[in-house]
Amino acid sequence: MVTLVLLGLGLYSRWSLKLKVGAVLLVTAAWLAVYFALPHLFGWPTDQNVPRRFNLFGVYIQEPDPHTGEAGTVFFWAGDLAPGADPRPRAYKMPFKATYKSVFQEAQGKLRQNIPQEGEIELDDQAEGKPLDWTRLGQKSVKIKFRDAPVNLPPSKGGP
Amino acid sequence: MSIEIIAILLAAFGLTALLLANLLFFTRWAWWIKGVAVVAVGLLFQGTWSALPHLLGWPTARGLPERFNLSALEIVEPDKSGQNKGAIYLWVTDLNLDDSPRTPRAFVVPFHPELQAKLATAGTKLRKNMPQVGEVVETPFESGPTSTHGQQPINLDFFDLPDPLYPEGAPR
Repeated sequence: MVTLVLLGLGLYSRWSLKLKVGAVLLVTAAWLAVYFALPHLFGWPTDQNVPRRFNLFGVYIQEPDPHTGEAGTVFFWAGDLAPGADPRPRAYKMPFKATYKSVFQEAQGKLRQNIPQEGEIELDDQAEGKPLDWTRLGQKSVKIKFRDAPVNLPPSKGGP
Repeated sequence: MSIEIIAILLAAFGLTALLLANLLFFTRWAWWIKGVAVVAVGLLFQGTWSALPHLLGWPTARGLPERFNLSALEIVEPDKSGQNKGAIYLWVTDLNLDDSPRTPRAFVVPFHPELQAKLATAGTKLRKNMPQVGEVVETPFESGPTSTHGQQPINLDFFDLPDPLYPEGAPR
């Protein structure tokens, strides 16, 4: 699309040749910058599209820092349990809340005991307060609960 | 999304919008072509912007830090049919950064049985509350495939995170 617009300008506008060449170079540079910048997005946690049911792989909690004013974040790494979902683990983040901290810490403790944890999200309709800053305007408050994931035991080789 | 990447994207969008404005005001194209161009560029902006969050969170194969703190791991073993090549997913924080708050990042490295064994040990220690530091090493694996489905395997070593040293004179 951008190429078409550029082509239209190159062929039909009354710009000088220098300006047209400059525009082509500028657009090329801009899209090269976008192309090379995009891989830097991968791997970093997202605060959107948290799956409704997920398999928890890891938890990392950053507490709020009163000295720097950092609000704190709860990071977690999880696999979507919806049928047909991408099986790769995905990194998520949520704003720090004491309730999140306690449920995630409890789940982390169980993970350390080799008890797989299954998380479930519920939208919190009775959320209170306001977003901490403008980057969190789109976030919805959610309730999270964990339970021990059912263990898939291998089929029994001998009958009882 | 980092501020730099948002800035790059906004600059690219802005430049495209400028070109579009020029097309609208300084070319002799029919009005309907100009209308289509405006709608198409608008859709392009909207589509690009709404697609970006879908890129976040997924593991990347590039840029694994040379030294990192291992937060979690997930190993997918290859199956015998060869359809699933296997993969090793790592969730790590970069130890080469300054004291700024560290955000864990997800990576994927090719599956290798030797690395799987090392990670099994590191994972066991993690569960015992012994933080693990990972390091990319140049030494090739002693056994197993030298290339995994065309991908160069990455060898990693893990060791226990040393206890933080107390500054002299500090109360213990």
